[in-house]
Amino acid sequence: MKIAVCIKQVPASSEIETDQNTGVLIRDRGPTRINPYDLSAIEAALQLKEAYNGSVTSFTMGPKSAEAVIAYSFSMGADDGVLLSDARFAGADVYATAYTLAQGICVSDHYDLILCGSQTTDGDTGQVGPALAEQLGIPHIYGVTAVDSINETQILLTQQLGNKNMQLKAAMPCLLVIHPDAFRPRLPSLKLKLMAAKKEVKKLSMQDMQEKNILKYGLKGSPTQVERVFLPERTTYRQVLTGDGDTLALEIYNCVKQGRLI
Amino acid sequence: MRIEKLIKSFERSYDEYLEDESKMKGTAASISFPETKEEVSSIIQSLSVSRIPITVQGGKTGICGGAVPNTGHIMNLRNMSNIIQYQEKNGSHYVTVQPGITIEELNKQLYKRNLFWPPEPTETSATVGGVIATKAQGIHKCLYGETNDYIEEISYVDHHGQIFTLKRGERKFNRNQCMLPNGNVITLDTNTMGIKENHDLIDIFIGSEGMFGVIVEATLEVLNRPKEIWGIVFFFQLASDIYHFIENMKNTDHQVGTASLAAIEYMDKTALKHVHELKQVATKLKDLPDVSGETVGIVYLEIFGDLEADIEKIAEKLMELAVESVSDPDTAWAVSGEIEIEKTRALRHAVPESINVAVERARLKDNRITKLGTDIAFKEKSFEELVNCYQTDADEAALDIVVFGHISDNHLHVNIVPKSYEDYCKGRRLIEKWSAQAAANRCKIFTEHGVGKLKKELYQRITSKAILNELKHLKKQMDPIGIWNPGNMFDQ
Amino acid sequence: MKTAVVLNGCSPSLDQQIEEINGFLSSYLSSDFEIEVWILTHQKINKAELKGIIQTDYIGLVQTNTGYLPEDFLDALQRMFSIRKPELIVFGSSSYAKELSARLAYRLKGSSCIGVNSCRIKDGKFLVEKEVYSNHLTARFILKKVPCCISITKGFRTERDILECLPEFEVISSDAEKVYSWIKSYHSCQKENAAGLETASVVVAVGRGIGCKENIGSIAAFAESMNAKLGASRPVVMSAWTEMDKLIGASGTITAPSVCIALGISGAAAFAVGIEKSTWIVAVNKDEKAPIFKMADIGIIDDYNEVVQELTKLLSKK
Repeated sequence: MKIAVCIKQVPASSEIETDQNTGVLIRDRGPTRINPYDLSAIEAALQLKEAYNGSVTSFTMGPKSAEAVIAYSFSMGADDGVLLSDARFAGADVYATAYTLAQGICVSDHYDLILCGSQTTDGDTGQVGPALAEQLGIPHIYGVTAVDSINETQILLTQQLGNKNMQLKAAMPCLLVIHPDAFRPRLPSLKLKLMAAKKEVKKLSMQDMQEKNILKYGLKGSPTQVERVFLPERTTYRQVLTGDGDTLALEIYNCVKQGRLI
Repeated sequence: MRIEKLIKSFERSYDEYLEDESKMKGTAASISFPETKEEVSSIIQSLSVSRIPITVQGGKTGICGGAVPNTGHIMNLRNMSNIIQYQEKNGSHYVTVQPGITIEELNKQLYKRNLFWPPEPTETSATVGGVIATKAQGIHKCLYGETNDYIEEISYVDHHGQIFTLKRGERKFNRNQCMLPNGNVITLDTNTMGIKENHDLIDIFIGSEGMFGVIVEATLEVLNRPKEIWGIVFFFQLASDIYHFIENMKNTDHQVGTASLAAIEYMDKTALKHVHELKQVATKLKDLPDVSGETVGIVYLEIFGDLEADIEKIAEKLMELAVESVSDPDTAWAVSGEIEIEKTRALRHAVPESINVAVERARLKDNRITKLGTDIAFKEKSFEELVNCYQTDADEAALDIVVFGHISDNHLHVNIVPKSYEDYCKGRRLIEKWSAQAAANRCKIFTEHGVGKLKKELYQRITSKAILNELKHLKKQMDPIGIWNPGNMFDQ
Repeated sequence: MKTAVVLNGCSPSLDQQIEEINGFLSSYLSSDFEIEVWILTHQKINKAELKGIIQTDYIGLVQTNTGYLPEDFLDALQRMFSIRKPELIVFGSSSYAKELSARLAYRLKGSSCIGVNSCRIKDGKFLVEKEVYSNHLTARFILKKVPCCISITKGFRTERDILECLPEFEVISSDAEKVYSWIKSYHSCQKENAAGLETASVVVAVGRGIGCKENIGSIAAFAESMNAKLGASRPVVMSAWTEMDKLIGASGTITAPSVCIALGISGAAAFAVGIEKSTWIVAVNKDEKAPIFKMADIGIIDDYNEVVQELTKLLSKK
């Protein structure tokens, strides 16, 4: 069984610096890491590989430095890794990212399962998985907490949606978005980590894709465009109040209510 | 601020300030939370008139009761937690801080400048003041050495409320004498104390558990952060394998280019059991995979270096040694980078933390129970002999012990987790026995946790009369009215 | 801008969906937006259930074959789109809604954004904002292609005006021919455990300042009355005033609620770690120098009890 996992490199710290004057995000500074939600997807892929004698290939789109997340997946146990890297992929939104990943996956091999993390810690809130499934024209199953069994054509899954658990059977190939709480990722193994440093990452650029129309990729292929990223205005105010409990309680109550917090 | 506002009379809502991680509980009549050294000074001036004793507190993470008051006033330094300034001199970096800053906050600020302070007591809510008072060293001692080397200057307030500054190298003992910044000359028999003839006065303060004054500022030497750091955890299923690995590792040179071993830590099966229990409720541990139940012990290593290739060479060598000692390198964990290493450090730190929780639970049944742990660097024995000794004694006394700690100088922390007060008493006797053995072998018995109140009796019993007399004499000279931290280390 | 609001009529939470969508619409949509409502369902919908819905001239009842299948819903939405041709399609905040929003946009070759907390039209462009980088930053996007499919972020609420007269439903029948071959069976059961301390959106944390074990009971009741989870500082847990699994801080749970109400907590470093990710912190403590006030958005120097009693009264009025 062949499994593809889509992963992403994200800034390591959530305290992101923005340019004081323009409010624009300073991206290329600071350490990076593998998106923590993707670790659960890799873990799920590795468990499936161990149970069903398969192989795991990790895919990421990004600059050359994004190889680091492929290396991380190697140190956990992924067999192969593909970096989709091309200046023309830059500025891609969810839609164009899903498109590029789909192209890269299609030219690489035929996969029985595609696994994604549920969201990333930087930009989106989990749209790449659904968009990728649409692009590949395969079932999309969100919030997967367990793979109960697999036979030649079918996969039996448990899915958690909101406060409901559901069991379903789907035909393969399909795309699974892995629930982050369900698969606690292993830590890298020393042996694999040492080997990962020497292992080759396959690189694909636009020239390697089936679709070579530049308008389909990157900023040009993106229906959404980031206008600005900025520090949110704090709607709350910091203050210490003294006085009697009654009036202060009312104060809290009003603040809480206005802030749609409770 | 007016003095009446600074010194608050003690009331129940301050109860949490009567305890620390030793689980001892004391009493106090008043409490203060000064924010500046001037406030400290005026509080002390006011208290010293009536000779009210003062117990100084930082993060209250100590395990020997040093911060537990037994009378008088509590001076809690939690509100003195600022960084005052950064300096660079001759290529070295210094940071001046208030004593109440936590290790976590200090590291966070230093991280932004690519710097770090080598003492790493793993308990990140400990304060710099507390680290200095106990001379805590933590897991990186094997690479960076003594904490003293990273303390360049301190400011302290004496019993009159006067503020003095003490710089390293500025005041040294000469013929057993040294002049204090206030002009008084103190005497100390360096020979009896087993210290260098030209011992630095600042080192008298470091590790003195607040007996001579309250530190209100410290200038720390900080280093450039290594560019690459790795953490590795090896798992063993037979005790003989782990001992074999440790001996082989100790006999191997691990320096490669820019890289060296920065931590070598041991955790036994019981330690892992306690961690597993804490893991059920602690978010910080949830990222850790479960450790196989067959594991009898683990060795945790950190490698620091500027080039990943150098670190990899050390890691490869360690892997070979592990294979020779039947530890599967496929299952060994290896993480790198500041973020990932937090996971393995959380594991290491969870050991004492989970034991503290277990002790607290035992204490609920009998409030005479406190923390019971050793801090002995037992260099005279091999690692295997040492662990076997501890275990045999514990088995004979039918006590549950946890063994973990620093492998490089056999500085293991043996903790006793009592099920009853009877266990607790047996445990105390066992620690006395081990301490006496260590003393007979001229080993260090109070290495980094301090003596405090919990180990005071033990300290007095195994410390030579001559040294005790010297210390009492020193205390008299530094604190003639006896207001500092009463009940710590020895009774007046 | 012609706008369709999508409701999942198969879900028992229809009421909440209406409430959050109303909250969003009333905050951000002006007269520039011409709103219609689509209800997707395979069940019968009672008009009374929709009483609180936003003012609209059109309600479409879109019949689906199943009550659960995203593929089925997507087909229904596609069919509906081809009839009604809205430029903006607004979904709720559930994971189901997010999936539909992202996938529908892809199918319709439009643009999508999920987790949206505001939107507006400026210079002919449709702009949305959402929180990114774990709520540390806000990003503003231009959605360039229609239809724009958005799913709103959690937390919108509104007081509802009950509409006396609703437009007649238009029923759009399902495509009964459609077979979803790859879904073999679907079966659902209610998940057992509700959200814990770690994922709670409101947390009430107590410290030693609450005085004694006996006071925990009334605070727990207060917490429950506002759907909050009770947590405690280490001294409280270690004195066995409450269970270990309530422990907040370095050696316990690290919480990240929208609101954290800290009662009688001094805020020592080991505890602070456990609540510093909260969006909004209210601290009540008698000690005005307690470090908790440094991290609180609102600090009250008073006895916790009075504040709790008063808040309880206010909440019960609600």
